[in-house]
Amino acid sequence: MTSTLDRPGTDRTPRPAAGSPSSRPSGPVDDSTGDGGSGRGRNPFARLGGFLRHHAASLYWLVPTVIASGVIQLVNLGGSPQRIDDEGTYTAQAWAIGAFGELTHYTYWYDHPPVGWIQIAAYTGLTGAFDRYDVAVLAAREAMVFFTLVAVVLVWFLARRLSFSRPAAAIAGLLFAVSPLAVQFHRSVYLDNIATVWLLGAILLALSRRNQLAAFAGSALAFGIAVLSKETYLLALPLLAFLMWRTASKATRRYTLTVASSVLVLVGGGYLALALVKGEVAPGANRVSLFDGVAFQLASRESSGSVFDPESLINRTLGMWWQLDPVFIVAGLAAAVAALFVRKLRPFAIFVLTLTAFMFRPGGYLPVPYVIMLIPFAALLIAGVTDRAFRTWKRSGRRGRTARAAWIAVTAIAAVAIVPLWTTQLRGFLLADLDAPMRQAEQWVESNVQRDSTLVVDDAMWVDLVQAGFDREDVIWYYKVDTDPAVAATLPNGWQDVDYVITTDSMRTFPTAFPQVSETIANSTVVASFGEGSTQVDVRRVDPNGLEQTEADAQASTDARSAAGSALAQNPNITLTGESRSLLEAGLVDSRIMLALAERAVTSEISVADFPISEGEGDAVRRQVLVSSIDGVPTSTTEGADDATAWLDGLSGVTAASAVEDAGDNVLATFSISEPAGLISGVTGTTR
Amino acid sequence: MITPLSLTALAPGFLTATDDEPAPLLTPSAPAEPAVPAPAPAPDTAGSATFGLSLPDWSVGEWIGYSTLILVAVGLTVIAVTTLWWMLHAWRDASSLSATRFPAKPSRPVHRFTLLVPARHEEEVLGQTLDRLATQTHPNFEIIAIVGHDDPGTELVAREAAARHPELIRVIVDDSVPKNKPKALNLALTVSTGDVIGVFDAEDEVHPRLLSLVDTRFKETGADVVQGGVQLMNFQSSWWSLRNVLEYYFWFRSRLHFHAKSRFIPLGGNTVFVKREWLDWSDGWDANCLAEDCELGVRLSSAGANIVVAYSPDVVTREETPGTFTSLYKQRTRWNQGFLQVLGKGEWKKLPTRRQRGFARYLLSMPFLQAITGLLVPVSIVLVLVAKVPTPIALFTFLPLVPTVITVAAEIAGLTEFGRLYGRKPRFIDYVKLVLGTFPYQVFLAGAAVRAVFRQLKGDNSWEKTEHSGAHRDAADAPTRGERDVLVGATAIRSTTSAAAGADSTENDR
Repeated sequence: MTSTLDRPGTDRTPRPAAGSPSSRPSGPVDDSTGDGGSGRGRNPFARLGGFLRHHAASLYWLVPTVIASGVIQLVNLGGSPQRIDDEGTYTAQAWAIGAFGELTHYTYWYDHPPVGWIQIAAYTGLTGAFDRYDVAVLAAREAMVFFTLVAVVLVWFLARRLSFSRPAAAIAGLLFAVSPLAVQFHRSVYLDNIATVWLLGAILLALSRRNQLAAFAGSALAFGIAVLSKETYLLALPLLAFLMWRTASKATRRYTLTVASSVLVLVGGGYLALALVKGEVAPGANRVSLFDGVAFQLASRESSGSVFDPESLINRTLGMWWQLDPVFIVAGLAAAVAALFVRKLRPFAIFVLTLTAFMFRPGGYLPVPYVIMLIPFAALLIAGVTDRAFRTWKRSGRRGRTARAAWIAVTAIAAVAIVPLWTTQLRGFLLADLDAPMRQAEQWVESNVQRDSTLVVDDAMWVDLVQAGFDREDVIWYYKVDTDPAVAATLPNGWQDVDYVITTDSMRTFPTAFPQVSETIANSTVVASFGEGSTQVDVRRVDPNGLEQTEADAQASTDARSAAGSALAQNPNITLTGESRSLLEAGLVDSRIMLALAERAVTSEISVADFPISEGEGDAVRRQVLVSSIDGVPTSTTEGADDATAWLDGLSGVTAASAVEDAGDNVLATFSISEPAGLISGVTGTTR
Repeated sequence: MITPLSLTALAPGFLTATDDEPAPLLTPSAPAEPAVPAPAPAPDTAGSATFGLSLPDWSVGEWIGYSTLILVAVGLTVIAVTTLWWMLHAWRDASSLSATRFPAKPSRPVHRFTLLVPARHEEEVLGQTLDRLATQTHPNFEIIAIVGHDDPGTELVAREAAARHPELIRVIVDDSVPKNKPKALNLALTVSTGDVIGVFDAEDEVHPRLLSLVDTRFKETGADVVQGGVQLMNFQSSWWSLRNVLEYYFWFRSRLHFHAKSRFIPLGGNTVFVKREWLDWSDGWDANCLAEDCELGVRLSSAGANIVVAYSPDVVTREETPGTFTSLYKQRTRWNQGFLQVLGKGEWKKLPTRRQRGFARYLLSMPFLQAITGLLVPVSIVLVLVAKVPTPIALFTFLPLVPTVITVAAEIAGLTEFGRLYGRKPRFIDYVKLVLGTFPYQVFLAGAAVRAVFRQLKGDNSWEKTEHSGAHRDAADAPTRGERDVLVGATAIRSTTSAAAGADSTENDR
């Protein structure tokens, strides 16, 4: 066949009149009415209807899969798991693109290629996600939901391309989205979730037989984006290359593969070009470089230790995965072994097994989100092998049937086993609010800490605090204190220049890795604490005089307050109920409150219901007072409440209350976290 | 640490209170106005940035400069991508590649062919060409050689060939002044007897089964015009011949098929077969156009003729590159100028759809756009590396490099394939020449484009003919050997004798 302008015999144009050269037609061009002009633009609704009818069977399976995945991802998205430092970092970097026009919130140092968080920034920029959430990380988590749902659709198409039945394709999609292991990692802001979408897209295109040149070019582009989103996805290159080689038509392979590999090299070259344009390719004094960044990832990463060492990092990581969904892990690996015997699935099986083996290489570094790359393929293999076992049952021989029956039995047991397991885990994901301590700590800092304070924080709250009015320079991601000379330069006196350090699990996990942060923490005292165990978040105040001095001062202050409080407790005009007397006598009531009570008691009778503790502050000095009556008039009456409110509102100067409010039958006055020194002799107060 | 405040002075009474003396606390004086304001944290939004896409803070000059850079980069990328896409069109998938081929087996012939061979100062190659044409396996054809009245050497060679094949070859003499190829063709058309007219150049090496296959093609597709493949062979003669050969390879193997599919096609100068009635309709070739082949293609396309392209490596018409770089330069100038003339003549405006007209305009401007692209891509990149521009813009200007690099990679693949198809394995140095020659060749193309525009503006319409030496021919083999060639392997051409071009290789007829 040759390419033709027209199909033979169809819509032929008028032929020139033979033998009449003189009557030269201006061109027999009225062919436009013949075919070109025929209106193809049918009613769009009719076309949609046709599309839906044509794909109804697929849509019946795909749409519920996507909806179920979306629900599982979205419900309680902000509550569980607790957001972690990495999430905050990618969020802050994405936010920095929109807010500052910079690639990162700190100097970009080529630790990861930036394409991943650029996509998060694109999502949040297009949807305005950062405006929709108080917690910036949740905007990025919403982007993760989007990427995950796209990935679910791609898993479906990939399954169909591999000739899965529709139910099997739907199960692959569901496993990919709903396994607790998947939920944990797909909800977290990990660049791997973005890379997964591009990798799946690349594989789908690499399996395309039509328009192969464009498909392969697109595949290479997608894979390039995957690798530039998360560099570990380069591990999938052999898989992709093999699939392309196997799919490529022999006649055009020379060109399709040439174009695909040049596209891939060029996308990688784009990253090099970034460094080139910024003049940061080779290492140099006082500057970051691509070389250093790559060297860090390849060489400087500390080994995750040995699997045989129960305390090693790799064991902790594996333990975390295992705890989330042991059945999925076992089934995935078993399916990978079984899939070695299925031609279409073999490359994926080898990929999963190789990547699993790769984790255990001696001296290797195992990133916690490494598993994300494996989840879609494990899901595909589980569904694919099971589908295969059912569908080839009739064709197989005696031994084949035994194998198939064994596999189906294993799957059935697994399906039973996951019911209680998943129920428990998914209940946790859908109901537990593990992030509450983070929000409470942020809230506490935002309402109690002066805006010019210097804070060392987990990146998970960086954007929130900067948005709350803290200066970008004053909110320091703890990681940078020990690693970024520019940040260290803003703290010439080291930890003594820090006012608060807010500690999270990730900051407590590696105390030795960050000596300066550890020293800062060591010289600080907890002023507010939220949550417990691994979700605990502490707000710690740093005293530039050191911990010993702080403790001595605190003791002296308590003694002084105790003395003053005991005296005040004897004032006949003051009625103390409940624990308030003992608190007063123990020196646990703020000197401003004592001063105000003493002053008022000169002229009035006051009843104090309590000195309530502020949320998160544990057994700290009470800076709240609950007044229940004044001059015998209970504050439950309007008159009494007004009187008490007027009095407390009227406090001014250093003794002023920061808030006075109606609290049921009582009036509650709250004083700021900073107790002034010297209001009562011997009380050293607090800096800030 | 904060030292005790003014309250010490203002209310000394209670501040000095000690252990067992409640009195002072019971009778405190009211605290006076404090010296410092109470630390009440107030939300302060001044320092926080709001998220949103804000415009960068540039001066007007920067806005203009950067926008220009971006526009140029986008333009260059678009041109380079379309060139690349057309170049690789045939390989976009396996079925489209097989669609570019001639059928494997010819069917029963139905047409009578007249083959026109205009020759001017071609005595070295014409005799062999005519002999070889005479070996066509098709049962019903004639050959007309057209020679100039002022060119007795060529005329002699032609007449000798006619004497060898009296039943097939006729010689006619063109005595028009000035002479050019379309005039010669038009003259021969008046005496031709075939219902399909084919054109060959004097140096063409034509496969013996070509006519049978073309006949079949006409019948199978109902075509009005069939364009067969033409292939330059001597890629090892020089760095530019290598590029020239690849240009031909991609043009006939791939890009022409794309043009055929888009219903707008500039025809090639030879191995083109047109039905008699369409040539009658078109009054033959436009004698005033420097690219009469392209012009005819445009007119026929615009009139809705069904034009079919077919390329099978084993039956391509083999040619050689021009003998010298200068004559290649003149040839390219002539083509470019011809494209300009076709663009100016405006026949393409008769195309039925706006899309086709836009495509025609783009295509006819392509030699110039492509030349500009080739020059501007490296220039803009050097500019960006030297001048300090914002990182995203600098990165953006690298964009045209992407299709450029892919093009070179595809050319490397093409050279390998060419070597395999035609049995001449490229050496490593050929690949080096190919890559290193990319930019110089673009400079050359740009030069030819500029010269064409210049000549056209000056009104200089003279015909600069390309000379031939037979470098594509196998020196040992006579051309008459292929009757029983099966359409599988390519004929190996072992030697590449690159004869020096004659002194008076080009002439100016005016």
